[in-house]
Amino acid sequence: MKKLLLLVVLMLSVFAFTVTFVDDAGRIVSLERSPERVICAAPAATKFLEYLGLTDRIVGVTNWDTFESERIGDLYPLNMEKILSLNPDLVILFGGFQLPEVTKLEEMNIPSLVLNANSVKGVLDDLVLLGVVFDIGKKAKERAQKLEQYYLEIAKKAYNIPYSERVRVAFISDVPGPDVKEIWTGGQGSFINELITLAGGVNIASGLTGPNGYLPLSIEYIVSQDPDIIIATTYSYGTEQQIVEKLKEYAPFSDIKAVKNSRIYVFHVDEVSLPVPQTISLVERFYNIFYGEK
Amino acid sequence: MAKKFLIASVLLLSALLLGICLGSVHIPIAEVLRSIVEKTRWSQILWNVRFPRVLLSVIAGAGLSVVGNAFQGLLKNPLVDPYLLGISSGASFGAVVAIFLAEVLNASFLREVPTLTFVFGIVAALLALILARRQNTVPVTELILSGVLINILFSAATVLFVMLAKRNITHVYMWLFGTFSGTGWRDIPVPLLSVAGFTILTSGLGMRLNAMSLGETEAMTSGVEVERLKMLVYITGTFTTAAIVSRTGMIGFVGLIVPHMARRIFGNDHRISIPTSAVLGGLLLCMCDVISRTALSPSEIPVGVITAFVGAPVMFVLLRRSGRSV
Repeated sequence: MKKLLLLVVLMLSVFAFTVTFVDDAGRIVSLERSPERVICAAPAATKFLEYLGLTDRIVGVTNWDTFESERIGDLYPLNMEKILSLNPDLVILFGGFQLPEVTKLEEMNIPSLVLNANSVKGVLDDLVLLGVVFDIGKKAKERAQKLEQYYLEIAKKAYNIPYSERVRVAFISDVPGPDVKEIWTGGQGSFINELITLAGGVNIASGLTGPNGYLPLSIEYIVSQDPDIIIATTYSYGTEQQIVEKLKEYAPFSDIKAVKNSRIYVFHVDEVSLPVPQTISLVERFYNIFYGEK
Repeated sequence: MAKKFLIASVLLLSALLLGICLGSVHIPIAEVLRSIVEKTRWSQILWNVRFPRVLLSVIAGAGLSVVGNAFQGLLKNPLVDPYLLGISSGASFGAVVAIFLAEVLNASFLREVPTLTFVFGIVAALLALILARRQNTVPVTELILSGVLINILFSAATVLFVMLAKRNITHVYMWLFGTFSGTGWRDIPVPLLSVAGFTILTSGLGMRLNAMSLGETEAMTSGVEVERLKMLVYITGTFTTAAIVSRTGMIGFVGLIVPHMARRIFGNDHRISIPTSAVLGGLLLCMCDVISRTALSPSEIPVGVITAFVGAPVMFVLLRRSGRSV
């Protein structure tokens, strides 16, 4: 009898940690215990774990990550050999373009989780989802709620600005010049569009959209919209001032209000492009840029 | 001759072994050998990741080279490669369609990518054949031209589809460069059987292919049914190429250059140059894949880039040394 009881207790303790959830790709995933060895197959996945204080679980990241850990190569295609050698109990992927890799992981019986946030709400939901997966549900939920309160506080200030007084914003991820023919921006449905809108700006591309909300804009369109503010991106730190100069020297832009009033702001592409919890703080930075710290 | 063939075969076997021992993860050779007999922590990597990959690289190299050799002989044209009939662009179109449908329907449809690329590759090649037909014959110039046209047509359709679909198609680009990454056992049977079948078939037809390379009229007078032979080789060759391309994407250069290597080393007799093309092609692509996955490990270089960098100098040396015209 005692032995039987022991067996039952043992079995319960095994099943106690079993967690089943639906990830952002709509897949039903079951884990038998909270993952201890995690591979972040995309930099955005690492950012989420950093935000939740779970970096001690990370055993591998891609070559494009700023976090220091064993490198597994590129985001696509994933290096299965390297991943297997690290013996992970969970691989976290990010975004739809990594979906083909999921089927490969499934074939190798490596548990995987796809995150695919592309809105502020999506980021908050993913925080809660990761909380469930890593058995820190309460903490994750608190963090998500705190983050929500934080950005809503600023967004509520922005709500009260009348439309006529709102600044018009152009987000450009390419700097025009002889070598650049298309300027990509984030329109309706993109994460950056939501951040600009929450901060009280009017995105000049908000009426347009493309894959994941991103689309190329023509120079003519940007000039015709005459934005008050330009938010540009750079791929290397320390080149922000160069980008500003380049934009000021670009002849077709010389009559735009943003250029005449020197209201050009440059961010590193990692700061603005990833739909991760850390990026949500941009709502406050954007608000301060748009309306000063009032 | 036999000695050269023996050397090439031994080299191929060592390349196979080397391919299994080397990879982006360092596994000591003793451990590799131990994994053959018992289950170790490396077994999964060696058996399910590395071995099918090495095997497919050999099969693909062999297949593309043999098809290239047979096509070159049949068309008496040294610049012909297995993609002559538009298989590559048909297959890329299939890949784009499959990847698009996978996003629209659901992700598990991605497992069907090889099926659709295979079907479209065959469709493109058959179209080229049908367009080139004149009164029950397929003239060489017409065939090459219609192949070029089909290529252009499907490439344009691919670009248009990518534009209209407005989807994330990063994987299409990966596919267009050709890669062995992510090969599993399920990718082995169809290419293996078709490559083996095609090699045996065309080696058996060696005498007739020899007659063909003298000229169609000469072949006809020596009793070869020229049109039937051409159709047979075109269709089976297309099938073989499509079987490979649908698994690996487009790997260029091998099918063009290896037949020339084989002829330089082993002579012009198709009965010999076809099986030796298989061995040399397998060897070349296997070695190139080893470089592609170890040089920048854990990242990968597209294998097509390596084949060009390795193949071009090797071919150049061969050209210089033999001093014969192509």
